[in-house]
Amino acid sequence: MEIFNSFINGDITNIVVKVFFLTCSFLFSIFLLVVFKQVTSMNAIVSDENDSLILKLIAFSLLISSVSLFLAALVIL
Amino acid sequence: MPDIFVEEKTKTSDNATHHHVKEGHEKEESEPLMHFPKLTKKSVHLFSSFCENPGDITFKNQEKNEDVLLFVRKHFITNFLWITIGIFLLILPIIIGPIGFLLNISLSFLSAKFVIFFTLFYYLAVISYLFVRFITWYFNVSLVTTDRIIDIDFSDVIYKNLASTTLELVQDVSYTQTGVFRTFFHYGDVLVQTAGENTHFDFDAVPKPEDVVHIIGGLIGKDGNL
Repeated sequence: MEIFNSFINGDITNIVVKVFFLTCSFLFSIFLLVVFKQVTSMNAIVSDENDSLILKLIAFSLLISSVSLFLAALVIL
Repeated sequence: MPDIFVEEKTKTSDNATHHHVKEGHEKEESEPLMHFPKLTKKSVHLFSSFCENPGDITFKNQEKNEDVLLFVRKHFITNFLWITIGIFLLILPIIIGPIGFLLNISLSFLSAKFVIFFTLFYYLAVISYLFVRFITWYFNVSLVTTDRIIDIDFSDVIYKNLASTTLELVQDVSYTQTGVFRTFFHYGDVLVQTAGENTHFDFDAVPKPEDVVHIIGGLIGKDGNL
């Protein structure tokens, strides 16, 4: 109803921007999930004892950040 | 009495011979065909692109007696372009802000919340871009082991290719080093020709290419080429 009222009030720009942002953020989260899975699988093929954990942690942090941003945007925007 | 003595001596001799043969047989089973001197293992760090006898590297389907003799990636200087792009993208919003103010371009149609979220998203995207470019470089690895040569290609996150050939199938190894940049930073392309299904293996832009050729050449018995 609120969204409908916004349309009526001519606040379309905000809604379009919000949908665009949420779509981008969602797709980006999926992309980072693929990156994380690839890092894990490549570490299984060739791995360095010291670096594997660092790379996995970075990939996981990026994924968590992206998902958090998406969820925060979904709630706040 | 002397007969018994002789018999004992023969027995001892037989036992000794048998024991010796058994030992030899065990040795044949446990040791690889090619013998490599035990060298001190070196550790590979996150930005290493060349390491002889690396200690920490392991790979899938590695045999028990198989040691990694050489580990190479593209020279780190080949990452110069994307690092520069990344730095530029990181400082771009700082540049754009004052320029937008000077040109009187305002984002007043967007609320402050949107601007904050877009900025966060932008920086996350740039950091992810840098990370993806880094792992593309990091996982493009070539290994020379006591048994074979392995070439792992990884690009654009979704493409990966793993090729390997045994050292017996390697026919020739050569390298090319062209251009000022490559000569200055001392890296080049190594070409390994084989008699296997994959006719050649390319190690692109690897540091110390003559050392790589020398090591592989030594393993296949063409050490005197250089």
